[in-house]
Amino acid sequence: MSRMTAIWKKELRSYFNSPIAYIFIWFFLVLTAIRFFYLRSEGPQGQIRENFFLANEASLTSYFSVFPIALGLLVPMLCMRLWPEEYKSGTIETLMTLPVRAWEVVIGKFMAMVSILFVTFSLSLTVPWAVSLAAKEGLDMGPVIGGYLGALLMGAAYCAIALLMSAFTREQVIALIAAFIVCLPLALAGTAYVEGPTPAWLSPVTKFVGFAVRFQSIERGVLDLRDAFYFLSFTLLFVTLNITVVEARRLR
Amino acid sequence: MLEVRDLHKYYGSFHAVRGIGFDVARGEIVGFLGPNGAGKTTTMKIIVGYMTMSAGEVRVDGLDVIADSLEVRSRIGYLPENAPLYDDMTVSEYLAFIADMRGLRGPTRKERIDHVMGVCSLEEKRSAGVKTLSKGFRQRVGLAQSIIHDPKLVILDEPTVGLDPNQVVEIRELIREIGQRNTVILSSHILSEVEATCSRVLIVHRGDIVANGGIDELEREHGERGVEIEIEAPAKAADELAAAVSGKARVVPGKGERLRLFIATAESDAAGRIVELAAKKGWRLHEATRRRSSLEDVFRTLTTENEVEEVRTSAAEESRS
Repeated sequence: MSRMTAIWKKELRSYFNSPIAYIFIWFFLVLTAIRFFYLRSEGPQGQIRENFFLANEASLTSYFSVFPIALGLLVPMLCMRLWPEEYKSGTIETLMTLPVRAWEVVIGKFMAMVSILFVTFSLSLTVPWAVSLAAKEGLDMGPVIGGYLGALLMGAAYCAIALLMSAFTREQVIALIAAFIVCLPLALAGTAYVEGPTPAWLSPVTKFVGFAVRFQSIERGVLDLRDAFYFLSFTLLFVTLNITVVEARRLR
Repeated sequence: MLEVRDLHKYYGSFHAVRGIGFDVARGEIVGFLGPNGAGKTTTMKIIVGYMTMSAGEVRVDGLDVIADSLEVRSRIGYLPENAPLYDDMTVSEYLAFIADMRGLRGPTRKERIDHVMGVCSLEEKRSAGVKTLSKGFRQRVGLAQSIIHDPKLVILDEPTVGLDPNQVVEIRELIREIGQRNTVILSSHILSEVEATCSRVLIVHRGDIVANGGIDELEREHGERGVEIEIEAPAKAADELAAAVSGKARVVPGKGERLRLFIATAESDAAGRIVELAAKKGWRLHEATRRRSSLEDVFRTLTTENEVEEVRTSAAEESRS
């Protein structure tokens, strides 16, 4: 356990010693805020969402609705260094010959990614705060809490799969691209944006898998247990696979 | 302390380690010597638990490296080739991280960090970024990291590669110091290194051990007495000279146009006879020294002759199939 914490601390330090954490946080906050306050958008079902001022309602639904795509775009950045850097610099050799279990290393790294999301979401709390100031009748905090909780669960799922993708390569850029290749389709699957190219027989699958589709009820502030369970088991599956991959490296 | 039994490792179809077996007793400093690609690094990676063997058994302190992997890893300190370190940390952050991973806590943790910094002369670099360190200092941080938990067995893979001569001397002294407390295995393809630091040598060639013993012992067993000469003569003179003392001649690689030969012979008056013959034939003799072949010669004979033999046998095998 203390070894896991040591890994977690090391990775967090490395995030904040490099520009990655700052770029991630900045992009996420700016993109989501611009979209919420100034742009009109189309929801996963093709519904039009006006910007905050035109919509004229005290709700964060349309704020949360960008999260699936924003995270799908940005989380791959967070996995870039985690494994590839260890492989490339050879530190993996020192790391894996320490008396540490594979799961401690994997979960330590995973928690560091999730911690960055936590920091980012905490900083984004200024948005609900601003909305609550602007709204005459005040902001219902229930849906906000539910929304953030759901966002963390979804974010963790993105982290798990991005981290796994990065475990297969020693090149940071390849890790980034590989993570993109899985995260973006996951974000978009089942939404109106990709309805055209999706074959009809695949549609039930994409609607089941797609993060944005799953996130629809969460963004209204309803954290459905099924969705929570989906994101949790998704995370668990890919973290476990990652542990297996790390253990299997020993057997080469 | 360490028992290695009939170790094999295949990389795909390549048979990198072919039945290596040896023991290391507590307190020894053993040199693992061999040309590049002989299987030294692979063997070390198996001992430290970074890789698994294809066949064979390795025990550290009586514990199996596969079954009791965590226990074994906590008893070993390991410095991989080229001392990989986390470049975005400072020296003290790095050592603190390793101390945490080694499960050191409280006052012991601080004490051990300070101790290894002292032993490896790292105090002045305490808060320097790892990426700003010279190769010599990187190597010291790597050594400090490997002994921070006072391991029973320290394994160093090519600890002096890429260092300048002064740094090499410093690191060697450091290794000798570590060797006073701990059992050390170090690998190298540089002979003088092993001669300077180790009490025993294992010569590895093509995935197997071809010699195992103390340095003097190896020189006595595999070495030959003889005469080394420098002469202005045609190349075929070598055989004539060797025949005169009923020995065997071998060209010593060197610079210059003169022929340099080592003539292995048991005859006590060899040098005299060679001088006589040279005078008779009109070859100008520039130098003649009686000497016993050094560890370097032993190493060269063991790792090149076999090669020739191996090539022959494999060629024979191929022609058969």
